[in-house]
Amino acid sequence: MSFLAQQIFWGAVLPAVITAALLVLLWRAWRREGVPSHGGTPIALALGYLFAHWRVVGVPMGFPPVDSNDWLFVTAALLAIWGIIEHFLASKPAQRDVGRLMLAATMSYLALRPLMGNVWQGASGALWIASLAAGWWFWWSLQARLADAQPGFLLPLILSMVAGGGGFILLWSNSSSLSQMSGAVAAVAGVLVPLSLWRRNGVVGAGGVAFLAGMLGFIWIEAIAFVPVPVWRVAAMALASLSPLLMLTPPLRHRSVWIAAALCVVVTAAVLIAVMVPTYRAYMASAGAYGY
Amino acid sequence: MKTVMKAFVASMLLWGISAAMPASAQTYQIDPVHSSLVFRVKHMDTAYVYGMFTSMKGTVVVDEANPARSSINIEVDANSVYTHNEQRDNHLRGPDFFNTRQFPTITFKSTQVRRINANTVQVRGDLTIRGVTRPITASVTLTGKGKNPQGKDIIGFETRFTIRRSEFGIRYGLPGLGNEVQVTLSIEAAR
Repeated sequence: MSFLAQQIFWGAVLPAVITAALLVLLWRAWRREGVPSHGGTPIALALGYLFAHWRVVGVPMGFPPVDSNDWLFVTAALLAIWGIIEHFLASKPAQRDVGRLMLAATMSYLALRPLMGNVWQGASGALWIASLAAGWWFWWSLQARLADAQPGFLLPLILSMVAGGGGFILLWSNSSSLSQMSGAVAAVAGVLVPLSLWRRNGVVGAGGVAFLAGMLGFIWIEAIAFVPVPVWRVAAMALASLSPLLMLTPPLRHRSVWIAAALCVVVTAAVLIAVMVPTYRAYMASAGAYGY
Repeated sequence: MKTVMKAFVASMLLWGISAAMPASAQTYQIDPVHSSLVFRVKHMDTAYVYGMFTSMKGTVVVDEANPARSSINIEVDANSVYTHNEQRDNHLRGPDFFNTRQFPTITFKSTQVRRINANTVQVRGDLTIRGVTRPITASVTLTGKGKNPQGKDIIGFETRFTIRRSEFGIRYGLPGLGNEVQVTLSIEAAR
């Protein structure tokens, strides 16, 4: 198997299989207890992701981690727990918002503080961390609102597209590991699409979106801070993921779900391509013959 | 007369202090222009790719009478990595490899120096890459001594050793990009 094929197999295909198998197992196990099936979704997503992280980047060398990549691993584990909490707090949006804010602020501070005094001098460090944490939290909370309003297949599909397209943007911005971690999020999110179509009672749930959006947001703030990926590229990816908002607008609200969903997919793809093309051109202009 | 006495006492004190110091310990500053840090790593288990760091600083303390009192401290600017391809250099600076925004320097601090023969010492020390510190041991050879065009005393050393990058948390791209990295360090230091 070629190097690229190995990376795709260990970083995307197998994590997707693990997530799918766990989803079905947890779904059945939790249903017997009378708990809705999507309670186990964040665990299944997290374990699929953590498997990919282990294979592609490796497990953290110690705790607390000193390395930005290792914080991704820790954050994924925390988001699995947070996803379950969000599941049980599904009817309490204010408490979920506060919890997300605390998590975003804490993880941003822990992961980004080595850059204070090193890359960001003086008060600008605190300002950067506060801004990135606030941006992450705001976008994450928007996704949670969308999940509450659109519990079907569309949100995981859009998140999978953005994570996948974002993976290429990160790859062409000089970060293969963050690119592959974004790809792993795309793979495990993608698993939810057919399962959501199969089980229409909401496989994703508040917990599933809490994990996916939380993870993607953290990958993006790390990309801005450590690679660094220009803020506008990440902002455009975040914008692309908000296309399901169109479903709530009057012209589309009474349309067929398939037509409205197709429009959201087209809008997301168009925004992603608009970012990917200049990123790819800039990469190729300086890459020469370098192909990793 | 009082001023002359003060100057005499001061000069005697200074003489006394310098006489108490080990006469043979000499401190040199690393000359980054005439020093090289070159590494090689295997690509796709096929060929060796070479790179270097173009910026470093540090000190070398040489005590020929008592080598155990010798030491070396080196600080390498991780951002100065150069592999003859701008995109690869940017990739190496990123989170996949050196993560230079978080870890801008690579350092080595010796902990023990032991004489092997007239021109060779064994140096043990702590190498820190990407925030991870590991002990390493290397055989260091004296390559020459003399004076530079500015008339300063200069001394040269060279060493070659191999590290496993995964032990320093640089695990990306394994095994396609080799784990073993051979490092060649040539230092010219002046005083």
